[in-house]
Amino acid sequence: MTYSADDVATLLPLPTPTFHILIALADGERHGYAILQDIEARTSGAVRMSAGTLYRAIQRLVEEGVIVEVAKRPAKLLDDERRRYYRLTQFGLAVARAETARLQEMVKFAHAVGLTPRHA
Amino acid sequence: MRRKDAMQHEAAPLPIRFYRALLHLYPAPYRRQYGYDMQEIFASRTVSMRPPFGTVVALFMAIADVIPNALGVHLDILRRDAQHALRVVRRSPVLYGASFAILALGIGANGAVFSLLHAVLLRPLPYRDPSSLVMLWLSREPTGALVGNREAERRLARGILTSAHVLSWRDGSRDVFSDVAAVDLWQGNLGTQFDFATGDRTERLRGALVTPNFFELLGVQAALGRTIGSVDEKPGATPMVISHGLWMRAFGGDESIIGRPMTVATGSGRRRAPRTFTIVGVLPREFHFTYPQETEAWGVLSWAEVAAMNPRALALWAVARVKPGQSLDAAQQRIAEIVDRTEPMPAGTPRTKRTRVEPIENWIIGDSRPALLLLAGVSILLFVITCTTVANTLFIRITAKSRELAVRAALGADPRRLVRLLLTEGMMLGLIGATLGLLVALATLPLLRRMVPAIVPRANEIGVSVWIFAFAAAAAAAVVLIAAFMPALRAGRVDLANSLRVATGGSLDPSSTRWRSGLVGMQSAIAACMLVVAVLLSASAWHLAKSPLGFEGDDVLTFEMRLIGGGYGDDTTLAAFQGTLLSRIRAVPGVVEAGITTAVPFRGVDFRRGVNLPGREDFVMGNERVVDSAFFSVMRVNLVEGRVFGPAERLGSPLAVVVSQSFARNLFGDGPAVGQRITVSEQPATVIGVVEDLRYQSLDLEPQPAYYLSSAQAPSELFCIVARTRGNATPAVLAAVREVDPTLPVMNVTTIDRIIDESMAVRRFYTSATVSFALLSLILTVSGLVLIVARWIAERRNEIAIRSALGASAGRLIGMVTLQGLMPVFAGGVVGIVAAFAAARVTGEFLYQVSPREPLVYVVVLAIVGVTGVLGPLAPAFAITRVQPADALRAE
Repeated sequence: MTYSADDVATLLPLPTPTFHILIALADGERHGYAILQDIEARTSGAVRMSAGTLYRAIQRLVEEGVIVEVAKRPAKLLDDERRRYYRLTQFGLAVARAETARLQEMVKFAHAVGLTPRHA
Repeated sequence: MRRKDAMQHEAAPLPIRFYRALLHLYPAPYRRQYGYDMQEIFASRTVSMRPPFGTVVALFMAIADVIPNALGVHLDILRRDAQHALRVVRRSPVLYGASFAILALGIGANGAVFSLLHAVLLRPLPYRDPSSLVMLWLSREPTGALVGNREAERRLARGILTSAHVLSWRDGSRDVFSDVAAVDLWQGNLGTQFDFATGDRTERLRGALVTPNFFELLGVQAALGRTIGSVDEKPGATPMVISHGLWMRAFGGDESIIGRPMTVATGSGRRRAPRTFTIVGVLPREFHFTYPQETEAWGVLSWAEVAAMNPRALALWAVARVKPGQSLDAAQQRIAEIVDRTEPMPAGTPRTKRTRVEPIENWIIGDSRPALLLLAGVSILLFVITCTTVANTLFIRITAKSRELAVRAALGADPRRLVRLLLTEGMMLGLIGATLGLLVALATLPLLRRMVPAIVPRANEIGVSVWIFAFAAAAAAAVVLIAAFMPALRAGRVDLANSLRVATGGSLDPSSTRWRSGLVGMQSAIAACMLVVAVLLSASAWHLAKSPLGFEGDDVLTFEMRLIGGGYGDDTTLAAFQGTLLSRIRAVPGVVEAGITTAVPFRGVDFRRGVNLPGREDFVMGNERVVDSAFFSVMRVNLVEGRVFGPAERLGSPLAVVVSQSFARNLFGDGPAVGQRITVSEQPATVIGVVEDLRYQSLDLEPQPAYYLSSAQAPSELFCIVARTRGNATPAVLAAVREVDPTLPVMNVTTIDRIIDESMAVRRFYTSATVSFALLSLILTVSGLVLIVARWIAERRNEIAIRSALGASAGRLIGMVTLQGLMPVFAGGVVGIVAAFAAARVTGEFLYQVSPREPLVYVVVLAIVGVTGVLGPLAPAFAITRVQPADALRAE
């Protein structure tokens, strides 16, 4: 799939739950429940998505080509054939990177004017 | 056991089963894609929750999770479909632009007609519970020359009552009516036409005297002050309630008029005199009792006064309220019983007058109903055509993109998803179409208000209401249903193999062609049916326009002067006054000639009297008109024999009579008329001349026999001036009249041709509406046909190419294609005219001198439909000549 910088830019900024999903998928493919568990663990339970919210986001990300459903799964994971696994596409990776860069930039701007978290 | 089995097992905990059920709120493909995983997540989240508290929490979690998200998914789809639909529109702007224009016209025309129907027929009348209000009449059947005269029938069916009727009917019907009120109304009685002096002139107000219970019975409250009520049932009470219109016109809407005196001349004959009333209230703007001309001033008629009236004089109108639970029939029967008891007929004598209880709604709008229903019918047909045209357009688009659909379906797209896509497209058509239609309807309203004849009750109240928006919404829904469902249902069972074959240039599924031909056939049937009615109405209008009047009304100014009361009581004074008045009018620059008459054409004031031959008891009936010698030349009435009135006719000289041709025939057969002696009002008279018959009641009624007396010999206090003018002499003429007597009100100033024109207004309105709607439907049918033929050719490029390669001439091919279009149009046309023929009895009600089964009309319409069926496909058919065999073969 080819994509341009414009394609990436139109998706930014990412909604926070969406970015969380991309982060969860950054180090490998996962099924929905695993994504939720990953996010919960990473944020120490601060971010808890419902199944409905998660799959609406997943559906949109699939349509946008940011993630894809994995057709072939690792044999050891064949615990339930009906589970669906997802991974980031190249485009998705680009989007996640772009969002990271965007947030970094924002943080840099904030720091420049003296906005720093109290307990940082 | 595998996990999925475990999860779907009956023993799954309640929250999970509930969640699974809720998942059905999602679209099926979505549920199939993600349902299992969602369920799994939900299960793992709630597994540790223990009943009963945990179960409740889990159930709430399920609801909070599924409902907003499922809704969101549906909205996402809708948004995507709408975007898709918009893209589609942008891709074929002509096709969709045409659809939107068609819908805007169809819905707009219907919206306008609907707002008219709503204003006149559907909106409740301005009374409390109007459905239980009735008018009480003494009705008669028309006899003699009046048989078949619908106007006379209507008038005779609503005869007014004597005070004795009112009192006995009121007292004897307390079990069926909760109340009965009586009205002495301007329409019937000169005494309740009130002369009201304002500034330099005297106005004649449409007045009424009502029994004290009248307003309470109608359930009407004053907008300002009070209405007439039971407190006014006492000697010497002089309350006056005025209409909103009079309040604005004469008092500038001044709220301080309550309690002020108002002096008007009331009563008739010698009893007419100025009386001073006290204004006690102003009625609400929407209140009307008489339509279209509202009664302007209301005084009290106490029950004591009713009891004191001449019990034999027909003078009162009666309105009653039927008790809850009582029927119209019961009321009708009760009144008939009372009359049988109080006025027994000698045995064997049939009763000529029958009692009639008529719902007030029927009295007010009954006469306008047929024309409005005709309009509604025509407009609904137009709407059906509009929708089928749009359905056809969608249909064509579907077959045009059948490849896309087939590919999608082959790739596993849910057929229901495709149906949904089409529905969204229909919805968008409906929404945009209805919005445009609403705008068209709103824009048409001012035009409509001007076009609808003033005689239609409440037509001036046509306005923007919530209902027109409701109508547009309903129309949009109808469009969605008709335009989207028909094609969508077919798309729902897309035939893959066939679609792919078509898309790659193969021949088309014959059932799809049948559908489209069916739609065109249906449109053609409706259009043909409407055309028949339109042609019949036009023929009828043409007959009316050329029906001989017997007079020439153009440039004739006319106005009424009714000397109801005083000053001109004796014939000498009256004749002298009329002489002075005429000579003043004749002196006005621009007045060519001026005359006097008791009856102006088409105004309903034409007195029928009997005339005897000497020594004979039986009467010959004719309309008596009192005119002066100038009347005949002003109206350009042809003298057939003898002479008209001249200086010889003076007060006291032997009575002279001029008769119309038909009256002369009725009196004397084929014998000579001039010089014959007859008896008029028990006085001997001599016929001095015969004039042509005049069409005086209305254009669609044959002239009635009439005779003329000289205004110099038998002057009438009720007279009209007719003046042939050059240029606009009206203001100068009216000023001349005021100079003669400033206290005399001048009424109904107009021209004769305008009166004739207005008498045609209702007929012209529904005729022109029907004709334009019929033409519009013909155009829509043709446009549908053109689309179909164009599509048909596109689908058969290969077949055509092969045929032409095999030597078929272009002409032959065009003929083949044209025949394809002609068939459904012609078949539909035949169905349509058969339907029109079947409805002939209904149509006949609206026709004049044209049979609703006139064969020529049907032949003409079939010819129009046939020619349309041939010409319509011709333009696209010429595209055939551009089909190159090589192109088609390359496509293979």
